Amino acid sequence: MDRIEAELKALMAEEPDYAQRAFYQALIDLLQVQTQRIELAAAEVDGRTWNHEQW
Amino acid sequence: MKTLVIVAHPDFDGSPTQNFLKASGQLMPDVTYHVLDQLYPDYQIDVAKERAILAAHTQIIFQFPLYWYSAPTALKAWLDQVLQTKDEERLPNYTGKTLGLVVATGTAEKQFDPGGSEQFTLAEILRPYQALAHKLQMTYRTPLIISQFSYLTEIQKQRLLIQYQQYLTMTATNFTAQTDWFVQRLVQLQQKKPDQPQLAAILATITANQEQLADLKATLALMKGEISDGSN
Repeated sequence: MDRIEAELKALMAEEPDYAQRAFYQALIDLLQVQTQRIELAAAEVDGRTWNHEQW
Repeated sequence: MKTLVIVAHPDFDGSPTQNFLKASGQLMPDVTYHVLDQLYPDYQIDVAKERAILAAHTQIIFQFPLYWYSAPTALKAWLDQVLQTKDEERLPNYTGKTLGLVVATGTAEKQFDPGGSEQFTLAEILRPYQALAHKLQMTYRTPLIISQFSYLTEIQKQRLLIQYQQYLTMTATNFTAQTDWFVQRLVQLQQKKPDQPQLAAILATITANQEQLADLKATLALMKGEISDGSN
C-alpha cells in the first residue's frame, strides 16, 4: 500500500494538470479509506469468531 | 445521466468559487452549465426554452451563493417564471428527476449547526428547495455546501474538486459507488496515458481492495445471519 501511495505521490509531483493532481490525491484518500474499512471489517470478523469458551 | 447546472450569481466571472467549480465540472461528460445572470441579465426568462432544457436533463442542480439566507434574484425569477402556469396549463412532468443544490456560504458551515451563531441550520434555510422537489416529485439530494472557499487549503480545494465532480455525475453516495466512479475514471486515464504503467498497479490494488472488502462484508452478513437465527 505504501508503495502504491508513493507512486501516486510521484505521479502528482510530475503532473502539470491541476485536476489530474486532485484526482491522484483522491486516489490516495480512497486507498486509505479502503485500508481502514478492510481492517475494521477483518477485526469485526475476528471479534465475532472469538469464543469465550475457548479462552 | 445528463446534468444541468443552473447557476445564479450576479458576478459569475468575478467569483473565484464559481470559476473553480465551473473549471472542475466542465471536465465531466454530460454536464451543462447554465448561468442565468449571463443568459437573462434583465431576468426576462424564455420559459419555453428553459422547459425544453429541463426536459433534456435528468439531474438539475441549483448552484448559488447564499445571499441573506436565500438564492440571488436570478434563481427566484427563473423559478417564478418557469414554474408558473396560466389558466388550464399544466406543468411539464418532472417526476423522477433529481434536484441537487450546490451552495456557497461566506459563513463557516459550523455556524449553521444547531446552537450556532446563525441560529438556523442550512437544512432549514434550504427547505423551500426540498419542498419544491417534493411538489414536483423530484428526488432531493443532500446539498453540497461550500463554506468560505477562499480559506480552503490546497488539499481541501483538491478534495472539493473531486467531491463536486462526483456530485454532478453520480447520485448514489455509498462507498462502493464512489469506488466504482474512481475505477471507471482510472480505466479511462490508463487509455489516455499508456506511458504510465504505474496506473495499472494502482487500479489492480484498488480493485483487489474492493473485492476483499466485499468478501469480508459477505462473511459478516453471513455471521450476523447465523447469530440472528441462533437467537430466535
